[in-house]
Amino acid sequence: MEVGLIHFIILSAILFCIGILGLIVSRNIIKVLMSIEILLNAVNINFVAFANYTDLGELKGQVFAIFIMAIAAAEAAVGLALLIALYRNKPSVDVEEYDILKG
Amino acid sequence: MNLFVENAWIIPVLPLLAFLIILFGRSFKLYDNKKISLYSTVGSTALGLLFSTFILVWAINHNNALYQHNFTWIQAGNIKLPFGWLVDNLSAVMLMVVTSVSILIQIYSHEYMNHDDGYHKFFAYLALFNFSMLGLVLSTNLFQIYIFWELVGLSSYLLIGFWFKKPAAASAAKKAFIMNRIGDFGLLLGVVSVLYFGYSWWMSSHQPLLSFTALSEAGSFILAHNSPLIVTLITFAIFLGAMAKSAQFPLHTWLPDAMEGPTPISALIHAATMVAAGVFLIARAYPLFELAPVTMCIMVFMGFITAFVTATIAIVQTDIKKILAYSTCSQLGFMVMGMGAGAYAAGLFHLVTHAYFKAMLFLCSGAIIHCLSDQQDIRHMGGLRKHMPAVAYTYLIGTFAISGILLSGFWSKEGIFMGLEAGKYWIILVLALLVSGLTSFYMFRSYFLVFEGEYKGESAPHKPDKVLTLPLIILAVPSVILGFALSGSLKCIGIGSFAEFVGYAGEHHASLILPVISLLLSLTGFCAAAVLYWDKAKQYVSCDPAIIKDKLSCCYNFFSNKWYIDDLYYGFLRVIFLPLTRIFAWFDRTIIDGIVNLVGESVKLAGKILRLFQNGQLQTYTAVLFGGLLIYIIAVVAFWLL
Repeated sequence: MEVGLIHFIILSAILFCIGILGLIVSRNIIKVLMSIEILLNAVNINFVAFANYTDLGELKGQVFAIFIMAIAAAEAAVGLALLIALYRNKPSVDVEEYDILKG
Repeated sequence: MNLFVENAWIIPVLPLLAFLIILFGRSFKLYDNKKISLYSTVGSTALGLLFSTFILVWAINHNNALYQHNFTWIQAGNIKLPFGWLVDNLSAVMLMVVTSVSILIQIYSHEYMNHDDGYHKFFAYLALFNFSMLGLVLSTNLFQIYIFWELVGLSSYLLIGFWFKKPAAASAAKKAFIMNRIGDFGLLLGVVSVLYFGYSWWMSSHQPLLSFTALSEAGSFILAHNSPLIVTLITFAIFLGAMAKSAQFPLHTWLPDAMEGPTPISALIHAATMVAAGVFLIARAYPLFELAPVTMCIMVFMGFITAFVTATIAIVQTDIKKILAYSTCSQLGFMVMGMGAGAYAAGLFHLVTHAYFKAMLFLCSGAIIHCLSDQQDIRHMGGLRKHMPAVAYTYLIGTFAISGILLSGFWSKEGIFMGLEAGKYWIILVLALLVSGLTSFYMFRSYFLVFEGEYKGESAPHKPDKVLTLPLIILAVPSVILGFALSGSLKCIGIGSFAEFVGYAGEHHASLILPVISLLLSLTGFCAAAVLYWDKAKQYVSCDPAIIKDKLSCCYNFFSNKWYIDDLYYGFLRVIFLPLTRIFAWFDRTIIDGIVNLVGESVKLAGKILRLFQNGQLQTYTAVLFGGLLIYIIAVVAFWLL
């Protein structure tokens, strides 16, 4: 079986769904952060796949993927830093505990 | 001379300036000196008096003098409401009366109110009243007069409730205002109907809208194009305004209560000037009234009923100011009666003479009250002639004048009686003559009880200040001579008669019967009062008032309860009006408030539901976000596929 664009899209869609599921259902805040990373990776796969199959010769998609990785690294750093700050106020990693911003 | 007439607007504007000076000067605490308030008020009135004098001279020197200046105030489509000033014989006379009486009363007030906390406020109100009254006198049209009509009502309200911390004064002020509202409503209705029914005439004639000078033609137009009933209703509506302001039965009850205000106010507003505004309005709108004989007839009857009812009440009053207040009502009744009977000039003449002698009588009562430390009950007075001779003699002059014994009231009342005779109101004429006898009786009763006999009060009376007595003495002069001087008897030395001056002079038949009868009746009243209340007369004929009181106790109770008119009003309010208002209040609270609250409650409910989505859970938000996105995508795809 030839591996084509559609397979990459299906893969990234599956990854995206896993990411969203993890985002919504996991209680642990670290897991939530990790799910966001998965979401970003799903997008990355999409970018690279489309760049490879439809836009050969120009590296736009790949460049975007690298940008996203950089942003993801920064986001993970900021996110973890925030988490630590948050943890100092409330020693818990349960997302449901953090609901004081509700109206 | 023309300079004064053309700039007549300055007469009302100056008091307005004085009012603003005091208002802002005191609000911003710019000054504390009483002299500034006094001088600005008195100065503005003095200049007004100067102008009025020249205007009166101008009016006397011109035949049918008339000057009016109008400018457009409000323009709405074709309707241009004018605003301006009108100088003619009638307004010249009224200007003179208002400015001369009010300047004396302002001087008097300086002494009377000197130790009152509200000195500045008092003068501010006085100036406001002057502005409104003079503006009313100079009005060129019915609409303008309505504005100033309301303004005098307001000043009257403020001044009656001047001592608003006294509950009686506060409720008297409210009562005056509400009673006047009934009349104002009528007046407004009348004004609007004059415009409505004569609309096409006003539009085609290019006269200033609703102006007094064009009123007779407009009235004829209305009469020609509508049934006489319309004209009767319009004039009756205008007369309703005059009834409330001039305290005619059954709207008279506010005037006696208005005596809760300071006495100078009772003299100026509730005796001399403002209450005469009703009669002035009738005089101004006289061309209309002449077209409605039914209204004129109603005027005669209402005037008579007022004169009679209030005279009977005055007999049994014991408060000196109340006696004078009821006598004011009674005299206003005479004026209205004269107006209605067609004795236009006589009604106005009585207005003028009454303004002077009644102002004087009130100022006398004020001096007495001031010197007896706020004692108003005549049963606690007596023998005051020895303590304050100037007050006693001026009061006596006023009593003679109002009773119609040779002094000014005699001549003006005479004109009214002649008018009734000419109008063939025979029964009313006879009864009116009797009422004039009653007037004489109750006025002399008050004089004897206050000034003759032994002093029956507790605190020793002190001497009145010169500032208090000077205005009395000045006012005594017109009270004595005005009637005779302007009756037309002095034509030989160049003083014309008042009746010819204001116009509408009826045929003058010098019958001696009426004057003699009225004089005899007045003297009878005097004798009756003397026998009952004067200790010197009692040497010859003795009669105890208490015995008569016992014999006529049902009458006495009826009169001293003011014919139960007030009770009737309060009963009406309690039985009909208050339950009605309760229904309206219920409607307001449940239906209107219910709708308003429903809006609030529904928003609250929506909030309660929506806040379930705002639970602060990050994951709920994400789920909603992506769920929504999913639904959207499915919808788009489904739409695209189909």
